Amino acid sequence: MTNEPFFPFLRSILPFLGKGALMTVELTIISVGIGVIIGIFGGMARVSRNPILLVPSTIYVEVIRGTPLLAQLFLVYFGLPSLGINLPPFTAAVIAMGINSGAYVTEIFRGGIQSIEKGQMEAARPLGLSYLQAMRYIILPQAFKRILPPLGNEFIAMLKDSSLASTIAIAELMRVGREITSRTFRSFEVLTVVALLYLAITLPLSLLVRYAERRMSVSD
Amino acid sequence: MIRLEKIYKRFGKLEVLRGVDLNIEKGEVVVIIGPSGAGKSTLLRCINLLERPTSGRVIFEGIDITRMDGRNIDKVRERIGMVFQHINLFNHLNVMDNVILAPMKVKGLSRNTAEQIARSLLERMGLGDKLYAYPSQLSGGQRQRVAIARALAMQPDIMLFDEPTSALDPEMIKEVLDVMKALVNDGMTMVIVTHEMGFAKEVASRIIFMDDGYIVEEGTPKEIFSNPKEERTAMFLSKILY
Repeated sequence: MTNEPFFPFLRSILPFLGKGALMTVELTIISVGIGVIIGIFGGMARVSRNPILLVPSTIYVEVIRGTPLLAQLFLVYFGLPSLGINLPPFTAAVIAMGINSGAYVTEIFRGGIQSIEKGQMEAARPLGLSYLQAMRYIILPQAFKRILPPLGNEFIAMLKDSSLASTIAIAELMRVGREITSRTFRSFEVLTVVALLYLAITLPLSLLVRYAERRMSVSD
Repeated sequence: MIRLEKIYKRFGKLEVLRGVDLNIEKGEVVVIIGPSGAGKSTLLRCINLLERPTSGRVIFEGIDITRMDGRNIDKVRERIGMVFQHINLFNHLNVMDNVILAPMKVKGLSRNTAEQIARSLLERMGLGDKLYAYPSQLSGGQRQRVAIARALAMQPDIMLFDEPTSALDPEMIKEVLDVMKALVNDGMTMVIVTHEMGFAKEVASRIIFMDDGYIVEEGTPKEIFSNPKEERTAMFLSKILY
């Protein structure tokens, strides 16, 4: 197997790498999904004047952004068991990555909300809309349109960072690649293919974001 | 209908309103004039608590709304329409959705009912052919008429206008003033901050002249424009009237 020509070799490893890539995508979608849910509320908390919302959300963002994702991942997977909380690898990974992503998405939403002219909120309130209704129907839809590009970037960044989950025994793309390498010793070829597979996912994604941007700008 | 009592408003060290009393009766058209920085817009924004007075009371139909909690203030705001200098249509919604949003989400009307109300309002504003246009596709005058329709769709008891024509190109001012005049003829209670003196003279039941955070003088258009009692009023008018 080690001196097999490249293309037959590629054909033999591709199904495994494909499965790994699928896991990578799954991990990323769920994590960023959690991140977006956290981010919507986090973003609103970050623009709030109420310290009960503002202070915890600010601490959350600073702590998460200021510490490595790998440390967060290990804390959830290896650290929590000593408190009696044992999580399966996949659950631990999406919790750590979701919370991590949430901090970045919070800042994305904060920026998006603040970029909407003050007049939009001012026009909404005299109509009898509550602050939350105005957020939901007026501010967030417009903010969402503007944050689509950074949100796309966050997704791409998280997709690449999900390779860290290989360290806690999740059979995602990077992990599968390293397993094949250790079996075949064809590091250069395998890791190049792994890198290209990441690219094959992120590239269409950037195009999709660009397309969505254009679609959503009808009202501009 | 609405009574303002001893309204003070400070922004930091800046005192914008210094004890304003104002009473607005049903059916009145009150026009507020005065130099910029006089506190006209701030006063208007205190009426629906878009600006919280630093002290003083706003009494709406006998109830002090400055002491109300958020939800009840929203209830009062439903009945006070407001139109802004900068128009502030909801940019992501077309004309129809701009107008029906609040009737549906606040009053709980069905889409059908809300659309019926909106359509007849927009047609009256001469916008029957723009129902599904987006704000960016409209002229300033058209946008402001949509904004008026949006406020009227809540069937308010009173309408506040904050320099509704100040941001418009000159050739679009008349179409907005015409719509407002039609409202006056319908008997709508209105409070208008404006620099359009001809319009003020024509529609106002009462003119308020403000300067430096005070109401300096008030009276009928005739009293204010032809025979001002205060020197400051006379000076302001001499500067702006040709």
